[in-house]
Amino acid sequence: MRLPRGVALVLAVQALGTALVVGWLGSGRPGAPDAGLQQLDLLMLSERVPGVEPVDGRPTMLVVTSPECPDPGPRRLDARYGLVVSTDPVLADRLALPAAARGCSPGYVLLDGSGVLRYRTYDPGWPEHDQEQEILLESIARGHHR
Amino acid sequence: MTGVVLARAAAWAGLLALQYVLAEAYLARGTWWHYLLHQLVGWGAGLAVAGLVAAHTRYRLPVPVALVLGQLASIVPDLMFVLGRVPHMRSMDVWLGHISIHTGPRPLLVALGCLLLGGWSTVAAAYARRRLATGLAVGAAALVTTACLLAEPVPSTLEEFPRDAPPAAAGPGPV
Repeated sequence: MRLPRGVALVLAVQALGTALVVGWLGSGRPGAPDAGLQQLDLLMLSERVPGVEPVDGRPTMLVVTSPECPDPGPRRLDARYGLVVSTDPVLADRLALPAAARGCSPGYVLLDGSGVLRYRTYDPGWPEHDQEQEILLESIARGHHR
Repeated sequence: MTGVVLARAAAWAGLLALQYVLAEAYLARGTWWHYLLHQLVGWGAGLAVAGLVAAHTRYRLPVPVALVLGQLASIVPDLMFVLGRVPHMRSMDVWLGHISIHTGPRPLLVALGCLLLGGWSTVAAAYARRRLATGLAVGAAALVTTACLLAEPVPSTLEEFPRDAPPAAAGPGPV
């Protein structure tokens, strides 16, 4: 029996989509990483956290990780932006990244030059995602608002 | 005749190359989950529109065109991010629920449901089942819309973030 034009492609795409979703969920990955908020790339915050300051008044990325994570090596973040790496579990809790300093689930927050927190996310692959981070830091430097 | 075959082959090669480049770009950023979410919603939306067009007009939207247009509509915010260096904004929900779909109930299953309903709409239209095609297309739209309406708001303070989410397994990597 010959299928009407395009139907075979529709069925193939549906099969592909189903396989991708089943593969993702079947591999034990969460249905919505960090409740769907991981790497959302939306500057959702505007608050200060006592004790959290930018580097030299520059927009700054503050990474929270743990000693159990492998050393990410030298970072490529643009010199216009500050970078701080912490393994302090108390700080992790205050930044709503409780899992970051326990096990190996790194995350980071982004601050503007005056110390206002603008963004928070988990990102296990953060050392490789400098382009994403620089776009957000650049927007923060420009004064982008929600 | 040979020219037509070659043109078609080139078009398919271009389409597959586009899919590869897109998938690779999301993978490199550790955002494969986002890729799944937006491609499935986009493909489903494109096919739902193709189903509606075929059911209610004398025109036919070719399936590859419907897939690519839906896909592009769903990833406009991501293209703006990478190409225009514009962060996401809540108003970007106009692009097929691009923001709210993340924090809605069962995002991946909703996206898959959209693809299945939209696809079946196109199939029903191909068999001249106009009412069924319309119902399935509307169902796809209703599913995504409902999920977005039920979505948890994106936190605006640290207090509002979930404290017990297990992010460890969400690392980058192919399925």
